[in-house]
Amino acid sequence: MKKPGILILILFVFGVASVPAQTKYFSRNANISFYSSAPLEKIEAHNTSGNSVLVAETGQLEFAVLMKAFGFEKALMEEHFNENYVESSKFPKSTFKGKIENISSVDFTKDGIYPVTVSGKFTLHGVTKDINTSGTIEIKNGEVKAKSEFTILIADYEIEIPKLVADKVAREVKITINVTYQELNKS
Amino acid sequence: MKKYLKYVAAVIIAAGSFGYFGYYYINKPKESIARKEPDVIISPQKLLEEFTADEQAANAKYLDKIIEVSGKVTSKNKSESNKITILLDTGDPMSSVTCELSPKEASKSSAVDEGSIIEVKGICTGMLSDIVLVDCIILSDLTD
Repeated sequence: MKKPGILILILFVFGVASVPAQTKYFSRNANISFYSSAPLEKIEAHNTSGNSVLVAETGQLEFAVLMKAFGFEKALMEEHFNENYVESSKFPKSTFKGKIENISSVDFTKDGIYPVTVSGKFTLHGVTKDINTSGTIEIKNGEVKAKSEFTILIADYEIEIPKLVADKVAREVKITINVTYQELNKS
Repeated sequence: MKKYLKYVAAVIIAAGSFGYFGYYYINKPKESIARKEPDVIISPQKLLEEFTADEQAANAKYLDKIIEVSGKVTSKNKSESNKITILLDTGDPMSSVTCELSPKEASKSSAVDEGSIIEVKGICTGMLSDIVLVDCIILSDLTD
């Protein structure tokens, strides 16, 4: 009766060992920008210190960004953004947790630009909503880059715009994402 | 008649200067922190320690403050929008202090390389996996 036990043990050990290790890609300087164009003023802000993780096998994708790290051209815009709109002292981070739906179509070993669809949960100003968007994964000489663009409605995230300036601030904001990943050391 | 003109002139001047300063105020560019004194001088290790121990307390203490740190550069990156980011060693390979340089510091940063020891001040914006400082100014290069 001993033998089947050992056999199972051996199978188990080999079974575990042969499960492919996950390949994780990481970035700590993801570029995240947003643009809003209203009749009076074009507003744009950039952030180059976003974090992102991408798991090659499962397509799991995560982003995190600090609201206060968005840089504006004008001091007053930045102040209004942080204090009145996103309340960044109360809600310092914005995050995205989701996955690339068609990750199997991305060949990480072959150069190319692969169109992808992404879905997940986006949190901003303490409010979480489902979002779906598309983007691209570019593989070039082993380097992995990701790009995407999507639009959100300010009202969806309970961001109040004072009536006085309601006509001057756009109701929609376009967010662009541009990341170059590094493979995380497997050690 | 003369009195009347005086009033008109006064109103025009008042309105003009109000408009001028109003316009200036609304369009004021972001101020550099180059001439401002740091609120806190701390080591990257200690800063990380405080953020990992109690992020909320550290946020309350450090957000929007000018922080001066000195440490070893573990990497230097340039974004596609030409922003330069320097990472400082905290002793933990998974977390650094990320210093996003003010655009005017670009020329100074060319002398900075991996392994350099530098002194930097910047505005603390919080912690992701790294603690992020923005609008950073390089104060000195302490590399021997």
